[in-house]
Amino acid sequence: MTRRDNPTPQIGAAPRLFAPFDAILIVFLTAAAAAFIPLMRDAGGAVAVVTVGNREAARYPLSANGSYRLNGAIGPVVITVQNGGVRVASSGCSRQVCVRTGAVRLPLQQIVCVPNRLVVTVRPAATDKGAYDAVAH
Amino acid sequence: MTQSRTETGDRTAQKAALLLLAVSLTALEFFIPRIPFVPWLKPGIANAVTMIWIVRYGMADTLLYSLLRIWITGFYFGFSLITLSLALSGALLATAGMALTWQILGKRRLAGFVGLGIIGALLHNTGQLVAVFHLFARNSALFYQAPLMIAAALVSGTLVAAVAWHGLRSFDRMTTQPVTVAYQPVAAPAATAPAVAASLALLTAAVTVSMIDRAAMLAASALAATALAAFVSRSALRPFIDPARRFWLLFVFVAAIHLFLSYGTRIPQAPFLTFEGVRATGMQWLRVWTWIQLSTVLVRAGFSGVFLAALTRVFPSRLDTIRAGLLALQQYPAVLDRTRALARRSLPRILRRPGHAVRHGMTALINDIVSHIVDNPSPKDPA
Repeated sequence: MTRRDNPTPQIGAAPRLFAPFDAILIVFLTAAAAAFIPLMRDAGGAVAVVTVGNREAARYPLSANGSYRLNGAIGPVVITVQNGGVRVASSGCSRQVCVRTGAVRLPLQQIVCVPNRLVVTVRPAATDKGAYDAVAH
Repeated sequence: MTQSRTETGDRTAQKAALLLLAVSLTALEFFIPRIPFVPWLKPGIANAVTMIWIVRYGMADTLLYSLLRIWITGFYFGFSLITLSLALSGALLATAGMALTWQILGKRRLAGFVGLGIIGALLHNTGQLVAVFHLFARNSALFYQAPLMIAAALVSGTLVAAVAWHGLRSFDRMTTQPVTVAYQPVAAPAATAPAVAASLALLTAAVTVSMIDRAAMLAASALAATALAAFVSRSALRPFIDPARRFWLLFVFVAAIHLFLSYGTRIPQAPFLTFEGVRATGMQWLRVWTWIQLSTVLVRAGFSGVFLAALTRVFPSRLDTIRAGLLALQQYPAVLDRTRALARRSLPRILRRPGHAVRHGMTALINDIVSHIVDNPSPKDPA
């Protein structure tokens, strides 16, 4: 890599059709593609748990789109679930940190609104088996 | 009327033949039907030429080749900022990835053509997807098709590797038989100072439009771009014909992505629409519209010459490749006609014996292109 490219045709460099790296690449990519499928399933079964103060205020499945209104410590908060993600659409707080956080979708991601004492946490649906039967691998 | 003589032993003619081969393959691929819903997944057979170029001419030259190929293909499909950015993001990412793999692993015989092909296919699709994401649909739902993309890359990468493997053999055979080729060197399109200034201003405007997030400003810029396009094309109607005829599907795609997959407050009467989705669709339509109009103005402002001058400035030691690009630009309409005729003639044979086509297709195309360059000493100017 330190040497400049040789502009003359490099007839001497003999490429191979199939080499060890190729095999590793194929195995890795196949595994990556396979790993994606259960991940997408999990996202469908996850729930957003909303707490205000120290108690759970609401629980929304991320599989169903919808917009919900609930009362925070200082005013109403609108929480929107769409495409397997959840976000705070509007809040009466002054700095709007929660709104600017945007959507979260992965398990254990959080949105926090300090003035409203509100926390939205995405939780995997591993505990409630009702949504899906066991995924066959 | 100077006739410059060169041989296929000469690198300019070799590179011109390879470039013409790549443009032909891109054009032929256009006729293969796409998979619905994921229209950006395609076999990318032209990547086979990129692999040959990497192996025989090195990394920097391949980057230049990719830019020239996109530039020439732009003349065939019609230039627009949208197709240009899609092609650039896909091709440059794929070329860089393949070239690095070859440089680091391939030369030590640790990576083979199959690996290069798969990396190329994967990065090409990734690059295009990222461009689609940024240009039309800032919606992460697009990335859920990643497993499909990986599967497609495994299949098409292996196919491309087989084509390149046999193509390299016939390319090496071609470079060892000296065939005299006569061609009339075309003058490079000039890059005048106003053209450079206009191109830079228009590109800046295009980037700015992608960052504006206010409806009124977007509408104003769309209106201004339309007026500008109408002015440079001296027609009040033309700015409306082009988007409707060539890009209507793009507008449908933008609407589908934003309307079906948007966050937001639901519109009470409609079953799935959200206010945010409708707004995002309108905004993105305005952006795409503005880009199409700016593309028209860019072409009229002499962007092509500016692009080539920039390439010459960036790659001063690789004038033979740039000259090959000019030769290919001059020859590609005729070569496309020939390859299309050749493909149509041999289609029954390709379908009957696909393995044979993979082994000998590139040889047939290269021979056809070389014989065309030999048969046509003074072609007509494409402009």
